[in-house]
Amino acid sequence: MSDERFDQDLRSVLLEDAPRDVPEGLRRRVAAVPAEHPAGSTMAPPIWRHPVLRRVGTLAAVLVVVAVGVWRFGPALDPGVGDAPSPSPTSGAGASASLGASASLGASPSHRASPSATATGCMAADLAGRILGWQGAAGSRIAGVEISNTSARPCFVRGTPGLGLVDGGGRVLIDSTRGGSGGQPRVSPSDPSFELVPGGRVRTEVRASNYCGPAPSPPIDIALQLPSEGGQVVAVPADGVSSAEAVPPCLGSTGGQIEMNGWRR
Amino acid sequence: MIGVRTVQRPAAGHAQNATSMARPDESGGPAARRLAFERLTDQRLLRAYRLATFVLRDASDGEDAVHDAAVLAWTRFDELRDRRLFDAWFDRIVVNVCRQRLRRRGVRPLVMDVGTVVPLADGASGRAERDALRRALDRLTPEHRAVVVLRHLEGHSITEIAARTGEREGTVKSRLHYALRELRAAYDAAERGEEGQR
Repeated sequence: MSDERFDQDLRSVLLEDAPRDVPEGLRRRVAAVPAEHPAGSTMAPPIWRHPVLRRVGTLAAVLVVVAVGVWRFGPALDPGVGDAPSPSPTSGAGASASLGASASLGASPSHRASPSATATGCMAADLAGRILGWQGAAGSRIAGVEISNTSARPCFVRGTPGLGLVDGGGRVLIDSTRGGSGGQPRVSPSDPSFELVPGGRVRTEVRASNYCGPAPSPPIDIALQLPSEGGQVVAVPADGVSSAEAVPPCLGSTGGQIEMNGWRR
Repeated sequence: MIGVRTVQRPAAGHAQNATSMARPDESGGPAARRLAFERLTDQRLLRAYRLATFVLRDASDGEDAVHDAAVLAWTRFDELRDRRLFDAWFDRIVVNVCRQRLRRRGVRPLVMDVGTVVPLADGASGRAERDALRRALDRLTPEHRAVVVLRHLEGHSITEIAARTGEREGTVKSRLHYALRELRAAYDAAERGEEGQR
């Protein structure tokens, strides 16, 4: 095999897989950046532009934040709090909100992020789900899944939904809630809350394996049963996403499995 | 128990190099500054989006990363003294934002843990090798994919890649060597029809 042919094929694969255009939505978002965001360095007092003083300032700011955090939350403060989305300045007030009828959001000090005081748990009617793509792997199939807030009010998602792989006829191929308590919709005290403003979205990856039933009819969807009786959201394939690689192969009679990563932005 | 669906199914150019447009000491008031930023980002957007999409292996995530990079670039635009260097500077911000997003995922993406992939059906001559390349690209770490894209798609030199990734040239060479070795092994195995055994 010649190096030249390898190089050509590598480049052709990269070119074929590379986006050919910038999505219009991204172009608009980037064009709006100067109008929506203050130009930080022009707003700062000139003295802070000095590199040494800027480092000292940054260090001082970090120390203040850490000190306030220790005072406010105690030693249980999770360093991952910076990863929690949209922490609200009114987080103290939000600690009394609830996901729904049965699950408390958790007012415990170890709670990583609190939604704003006005946000409540997202209900299925507030959300739309999309499958962004499927990847085939040995014995399993992995989908990128996104849910977005289509309502006019902010809400938050938290915890792990029950999951189902559903075919085009509405038949449930794999159902996590039939596999014991581990697959039931649930919220753990350490689960972060993700506040979704109208249009906001969160993503995850869902892995399905071992389907041994009759041939399903496309398209393949993923049903998400929200915790706390939040209802059921069905993620459907986004435009251009094929279900050809969505159904995992049969591995034996142990039953199908479906699981997901934690939510992320 | 999961029930039957209840929701409605929804209905179904290369950018120019910014260096040719920007002047080294371009400055002015807020309006000129904003105009310069918009012009530079607009020229760079497609390449930045391609880079982010390849590194993150997710077009939607790539969009968000480029947007976040644009916000960072705008808030720090005055720190860029020579706007001829905007391309490399912006690419570096994109790479850093991608790194942050990968870290923020908290767990390794499932696509990195899948092990042996299922071979796709053979098609026309060379199809199997190219499919093998795609799967091997998926298996590379984001850092290795970034250097492959910057070298073999964007055509940058080792020095230019180092500037864009914030790594030493030796690190870039090493990553490129490792990545190409992995890609080549997958490619050769597919040519010999051995991929299923890999």
